[in-house]
Amino acid sequence: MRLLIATFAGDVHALEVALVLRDRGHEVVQWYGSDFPTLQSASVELDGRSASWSAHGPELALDGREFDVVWYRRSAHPVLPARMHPGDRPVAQRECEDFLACLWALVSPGAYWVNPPASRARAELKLVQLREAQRAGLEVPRTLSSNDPARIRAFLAQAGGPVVYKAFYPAWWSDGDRVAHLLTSEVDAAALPEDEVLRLTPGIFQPRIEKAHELRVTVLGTRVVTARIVSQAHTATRLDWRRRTKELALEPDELPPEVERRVHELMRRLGLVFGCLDFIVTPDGRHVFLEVNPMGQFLWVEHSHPEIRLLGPFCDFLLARGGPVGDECADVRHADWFERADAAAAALARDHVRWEGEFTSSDASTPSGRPGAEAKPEGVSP
Amino acid sequence: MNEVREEVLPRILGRRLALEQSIQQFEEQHGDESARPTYTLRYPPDRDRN
Repeated sequence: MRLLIATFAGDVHALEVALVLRDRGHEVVQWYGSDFPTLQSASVELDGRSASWSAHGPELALDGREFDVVWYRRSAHPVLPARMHPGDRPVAQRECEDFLACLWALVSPGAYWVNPPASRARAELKLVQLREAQRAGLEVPRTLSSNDPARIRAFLAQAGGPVVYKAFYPAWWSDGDRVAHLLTSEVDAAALPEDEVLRLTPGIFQPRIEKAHELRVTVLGTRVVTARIVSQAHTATRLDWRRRTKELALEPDELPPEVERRVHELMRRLGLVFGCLDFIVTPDGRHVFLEVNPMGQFLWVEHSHPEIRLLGPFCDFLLARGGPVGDECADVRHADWFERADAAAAALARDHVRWEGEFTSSDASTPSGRPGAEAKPEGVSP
Repeated sequence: MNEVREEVLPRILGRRLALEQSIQQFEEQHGDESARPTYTLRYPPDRDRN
């Protein structure tokens, strides 16, 4: 089978899956999105009634031939070189982004896509997720998303208890050796900035929900793998388990059949075949949907609890292409592949343009611009 | 002569609520034996985690 993975330098998930599938005799191509445009050349040509595309670069030689499966893992953004006129940068960035969007829309239309890009783009919208979850019959938190200071202040005043604030996007500020990490945070009126600033960033406000524990639910087609996150054992992880993950315990768990049915209905509504969902389980046993991650990280679950198997099932899910799932990778364990993948990721990072993601901001008084925009691989001068 | 003052701009709500710590503290709370954040098997995190 021939598989294409959209990835970025340092993507352990993509590397681990690629190593396993190659070991099973499949052809796997990893497309590093940030190598474009400095290390990659790509072309689309239309002539008469025909069209063709190609892409070339480090470890990449594509001539438009179809793939059986496209794992649209994380395509990463194009990264422009540091030495470029600042006035041209936003124009070039937009052109690169649009060209690559065109290219991906033309790549292998007949392949099995995980996930279809149009579905994924819609499914990444948090408020759409919550609305579709409501429609699928899942319980969702009462939610206000707004930049209206009056509505926000009224929501806090009328909540009748603690309220949490969530951002639409992960945020991470750095300044030298200090970082500021935005997670789900409790918020009260005293914490709000003045209205002129409050209105500048819409946020998501929800009542704080009491938890017995949390669930990380990974959906692979028709298969559902559920891990219980024992988040209430430590004070630091009660509000957001990402605050302290080192000792976080995971256990195998299962969804009640009715909740699982509604999860599949949500996935159908969003057009997703893969996703990582987060739930709160309340002390009285209610399952409250928080969100679905169309391309969430999943190997950390098996990393934390080796009996919650995900690497093998994920590989078999890809190979099944939406049909009956086989057991070609049933014996595959993350523990047997992680070190090789991690070492390969470190080695490959030297050959590809590094993408820092759009999560990081400088906290210094003089903004230095998008961190990824100045990235380049060691020894490569685009 | 006019006094030149550096303007301190107010921060958005997300920045006010963000958990501040040193990189060392972050790694101690999240890293494995090689001080690597394990919950995502490397940064960046999920795009839209709660």
